[in-house]
Amino acid sequence: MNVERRARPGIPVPVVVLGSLGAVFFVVPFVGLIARAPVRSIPDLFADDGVRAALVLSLVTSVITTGFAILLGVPIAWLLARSALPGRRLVRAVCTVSMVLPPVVAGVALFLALGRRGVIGGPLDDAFGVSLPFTTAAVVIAQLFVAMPFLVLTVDAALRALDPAAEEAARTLGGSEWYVFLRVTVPSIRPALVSGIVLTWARALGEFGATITFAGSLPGATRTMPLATYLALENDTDQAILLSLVLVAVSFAVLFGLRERWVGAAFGARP
Amino acid sequence: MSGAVELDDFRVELDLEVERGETIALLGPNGAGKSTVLRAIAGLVALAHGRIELDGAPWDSGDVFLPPAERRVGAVFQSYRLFDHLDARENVAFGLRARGMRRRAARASAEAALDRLGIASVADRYPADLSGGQAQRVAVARALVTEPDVVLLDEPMAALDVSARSAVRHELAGWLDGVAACRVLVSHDPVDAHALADRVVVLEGGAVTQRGRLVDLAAAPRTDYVADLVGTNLLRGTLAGGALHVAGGGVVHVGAHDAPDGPVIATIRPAAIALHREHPEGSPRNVWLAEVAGVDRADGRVRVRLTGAVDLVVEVTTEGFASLATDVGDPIWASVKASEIGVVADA
Amino acid sequence: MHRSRWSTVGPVVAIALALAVTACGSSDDRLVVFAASSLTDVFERLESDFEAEHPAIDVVVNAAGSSSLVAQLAEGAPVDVLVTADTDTMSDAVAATPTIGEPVTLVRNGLVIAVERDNPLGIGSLGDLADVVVVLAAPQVPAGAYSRSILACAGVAVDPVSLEQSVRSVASKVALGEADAGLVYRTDISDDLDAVEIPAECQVAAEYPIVLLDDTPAARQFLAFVTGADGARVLADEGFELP
Repeated sequence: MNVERRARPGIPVPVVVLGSLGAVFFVVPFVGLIARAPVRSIPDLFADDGVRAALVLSLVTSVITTGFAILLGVPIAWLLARSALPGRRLVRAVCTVSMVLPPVVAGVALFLALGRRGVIGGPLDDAFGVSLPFTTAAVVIAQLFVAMPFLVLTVDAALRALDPAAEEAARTLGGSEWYVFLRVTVPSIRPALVSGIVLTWARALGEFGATITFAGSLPGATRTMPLATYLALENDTDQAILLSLVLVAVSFAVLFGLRERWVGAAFGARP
Repeated sequence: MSGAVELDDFRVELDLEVERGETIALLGPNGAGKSTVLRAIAGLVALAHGRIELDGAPWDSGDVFLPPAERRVGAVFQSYRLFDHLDARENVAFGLRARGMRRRAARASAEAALDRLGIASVADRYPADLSGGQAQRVAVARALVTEPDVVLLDEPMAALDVSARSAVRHELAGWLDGVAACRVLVSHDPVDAHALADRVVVLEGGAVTQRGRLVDLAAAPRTDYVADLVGTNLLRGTLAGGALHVAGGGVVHVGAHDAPDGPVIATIRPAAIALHREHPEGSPRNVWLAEVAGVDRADGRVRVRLTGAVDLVVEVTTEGFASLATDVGDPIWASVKASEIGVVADA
Repeated sequence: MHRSRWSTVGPVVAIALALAVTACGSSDDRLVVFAASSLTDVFERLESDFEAEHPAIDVVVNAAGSSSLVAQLAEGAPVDVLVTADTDTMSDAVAATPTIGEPVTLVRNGLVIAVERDNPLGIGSLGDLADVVVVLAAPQVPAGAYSRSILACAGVAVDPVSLEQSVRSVASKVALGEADAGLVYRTDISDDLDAVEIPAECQVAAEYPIVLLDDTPAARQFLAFVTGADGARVLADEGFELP
């Protein structure tokens, strides 16, 4: 017993110290939030139409965004990782930059592209009368713009690191490119894919700057939880705290509710 | 197929013809290009020039390149490459389903295939839970169940325990026998060729050095590698007046032959060489002093490597070796009758 | 042994120092001013004019929505001078923290309808707002509350596409052309915008109270500067009404 304990590699002390400090750094704000929560007001909170609307809007838009992110992001990643299209490096760089961009700047950029006077939005409005800003669709677009790169870059990296051996075997067995991708490639990168999806959803749920700039803030249509929380901070700190807690609780519930088999693989457990 | 495959700086050129129902073995040292040839046949890499055809229909030629999915090829890879996220049955069914078979029918065929290979019981297990032998059978079943026109086997025995190999080799021969396809086997082990192949093609450094039946190769190896392969001694030198002068400085007296004077290849079977502690008396005209460089014991036999004027591998019985009471580093005398030495002109 | 202890303590000490350095508060030669967001530009000028006369003093202006300023104040932010956009928020501030003296009115401001430069849609009155794309400040923000009362006074029912966090956002959305009109402070009209006046009977006189929160010589000097003749000149120049 003694020998085994000595044999297991220890963790250097600086790592333990810094790691613990880091963990505390993450945990303390949540503890603070819970400690300050005015528990008495919780039932009132959910009776408030505005709060319910914001919660539903946040959940619905973040899920739709994640769906689009998978639909568009996986093909982008496939092209980046596997094709010989020119400009791949540029596209990869642009994806990274849009993650680094301050979200409000992203919102302004979306205006310039898709707004009433925008490069694409202008003609769209003139021809079809379709105006995107200030709509719920705009919320999804704003979230998609900032969150999709997470999925693209995660899947791109996973595809590039993938050993082509299994895919080659599948091709010799008669699998078309599409069949091999769905039946062999995607299952092989499942941990990266899942973690990419989770990150994307989380980023979309918490999105604020681009949303408030491009989609505006109207209860029910475009005022998501983060926007509602920030507005509540203006004159009702208690409500802001409660809204924050609700968002935190919902996020925890989703992440733990997802079957361990799926998320656990993403965060390191054996599939 | 006939043509050349180029991969980065490496080039393999060869000409290969295989009949249906026939197995040819592609032998050669590591890096000779054998796996590259298999990959070209499978369609995983394109020919730089030349063509691959099946029954006259082109698979890879100047203007046609059939992707692997459209070639009816069944490949068994050295590392098996089973799909980790599918169980054994689904692995075997993969090729059938990829080609459009319905799920239930594919599963039934897969189970039948697993049964034929004697592993019906592992149908539900995942590759991570299979033994090496079981995994190999699943890989073979997966390749054969689609009834391919060409079967490719890349070092099929390499991943197995040495003790398991002869039994599996025997079984593999049985499974392949019933398959009406062209079969190309890649190996570095001539015993595989012995057991499974009808003809052999030797590939060294990207080019064919010898081809034919294994027995013909054994009788007249053309390169050191082939000689090593078939387990014989090969000496290169210049023939002049009935004596062969080898590079090491030794002289080998040869018997009757049709080779003209000049560069020749001489072969001496290891078992034809005798070892002596003292200079032997008697008839052999070839007597050399050598040093024991290495001793390999196999069942009932001992192979002794000698260095000296002539480098040789000698095979003696275990008892014979024991009676010599010699060991690595000791001097020893080797003798062989001139009539035991085969000579052919070196091309 | 010595080396390994340092390699443990070293990083920890370095981080502690880094944190300490970033947590500076206000000092004698450093002045922290919290001002309502519509005062951003004018206080920038006041800051540079004041620093020109008092080079030893460093003025730091934090401009944001009044209620978020007060929220920060309540959480203990170190502030020397506070200016809010309405008296309600000032009362909240006074309740939250001790002040030096009573708040006084610094300036007044009125609201106008903001439209794109050259008024392409020809908006002439509050009534026209019912038919165009309008953005307003959220009612939780002073400007938003004013907007609501102005529209109620005029009897106009408006369906805004967005209720913004700050009145500056309203202005910028109209300037970008994404909204046709919005209600903003007169002082928020930039070169990209034109103003359409609101009838005097519905006009609101937004009062901006100012109060001293810290009794330092620098703070008193700044307050005197801003409320005195020099400050008045700048404020009037920027479009504010003097009390």
